Amino acid sequence: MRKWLLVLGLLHAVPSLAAVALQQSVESLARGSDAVVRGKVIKRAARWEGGRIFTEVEVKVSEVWRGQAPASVKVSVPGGEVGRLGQSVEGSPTFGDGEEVALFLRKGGGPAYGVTGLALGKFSLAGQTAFPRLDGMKVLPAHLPARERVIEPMAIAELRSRVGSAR
Amino acid sequence: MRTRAPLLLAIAAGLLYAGPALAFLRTQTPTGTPLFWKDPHVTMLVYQKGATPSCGNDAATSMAAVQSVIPTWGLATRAGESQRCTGARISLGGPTTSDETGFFLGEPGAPANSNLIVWRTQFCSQVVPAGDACYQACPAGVYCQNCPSKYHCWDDTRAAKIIALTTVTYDTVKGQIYDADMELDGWNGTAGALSSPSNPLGNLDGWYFTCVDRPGGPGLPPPVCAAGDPSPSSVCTCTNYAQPNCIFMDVQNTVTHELGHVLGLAHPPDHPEDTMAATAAPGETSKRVLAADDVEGICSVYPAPKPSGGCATAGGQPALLALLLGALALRLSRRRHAAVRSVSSTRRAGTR
Repeated sequence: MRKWLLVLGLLHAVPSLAAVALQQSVESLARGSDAVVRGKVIKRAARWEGGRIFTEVEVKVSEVWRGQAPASVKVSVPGGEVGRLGQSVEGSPTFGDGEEVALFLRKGGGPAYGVTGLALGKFSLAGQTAFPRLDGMKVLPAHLPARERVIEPMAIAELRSRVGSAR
Repeated sequence: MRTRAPLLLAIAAGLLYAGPALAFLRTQTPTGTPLFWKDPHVTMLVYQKGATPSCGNDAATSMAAVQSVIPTWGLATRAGESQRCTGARISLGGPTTSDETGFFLGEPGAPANSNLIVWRTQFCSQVVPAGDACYQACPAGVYCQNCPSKYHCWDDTRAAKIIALTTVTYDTVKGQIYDADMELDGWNGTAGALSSPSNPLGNLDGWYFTCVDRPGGPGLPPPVCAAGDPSPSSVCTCTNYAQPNCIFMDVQNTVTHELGHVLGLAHPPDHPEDTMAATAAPGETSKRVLAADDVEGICSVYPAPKPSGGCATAGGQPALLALLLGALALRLSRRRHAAVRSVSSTRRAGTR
């Protein structure tokens, strides 16, 4: 009975955030990115940046699928927690220690990369499958070019192939 | 029959609890603490300068569009009731000349914290000099400007292809919200097609926000405007930047949704008709108006104060009732088990 009541409580504890973006395909994300890499999260830390909290994530790159990238990339994503203060930025990708990921990266004026389309541009890799985590995204439907599909779970090999073939 | 009572009560508790929990969701900290305003009377300031060239290049129209939806959440009223059911209020503090988003801790020179609605109409990648300190970490106790505020730009490196963002600053232990800022990635004023072969899903010139009302009231997207029609005779979904009399990224639709996030609400699963739904379409205006789930959400999180005693609302009652039923089920279960143990031990004693 206690377990049953615990389940009731957990039903309410589903985290969710939100940002608004137009539907993208793997190809459109790739076209809008400077690099697409596969790698493993080796470090993450949040910091203040002029009234805003950003989480800097270091990823050890195992494969570069598009563009050029160093052996280790630093990625900066909006939101995070520093001490007693946190900033929830809807739709920003979250990372776990040691997580295997595929990232669509965009280089800007700062020292770190950004993730193209926030959560749209991050896939978690498990086994042979790549999973997008779009809980926090409000996605507006859009007409995609012929032979392009919405962001969805797919085989890692397919993701890699679609990134490589994007023109 | 008596032995089934705990199970039946538990099922009833689950059914009662599952209803509202699935109809709305709250934003939570990574450890699961829901976010909330201690004083749910939230004042938003609008950065007027960025409001153009949206809405026919008329800042007053843009402001009026925002103003028209500011009260929406505070007026939430359940179907069939005449009194609003929430104590939450969002009010417009007027225009501001500051677009300094974020949260400051009283560092010398830092602006006062305020909740902002800001249009950004140029990309940071095009205006921030390489190596600018605004991208660097800010030492504790020192006031630094972030790049979007310093250069009045959309942080396209770290929010590429995003239409709108709301940043909520909160206490990591209590979940109390201290500040919330909404940023809209607005159009830069360059004319052209909203979609082109070289940029089929892009927003190379920002997103075209419109304020046009749909005939007959808010609803689903109207038909797409005829190609090349500079001034459609009836309201349609825009095909070009600067096109008048059409709807694209509806300001009221977008701002109403984002204000839900300001108040700590998240996306409900599988409820596409809700204002807080995770899906919408260009040209859609239906989310200007709260759906029943949105009303239930805001009224459960911030119930209207009762005139005399009591604090439970209809939204809170199922959850409260569920808890009571759950506790009753647990108690009955314990009694039953105690009785079984008692009988069992009596039998064992009797056999010795």
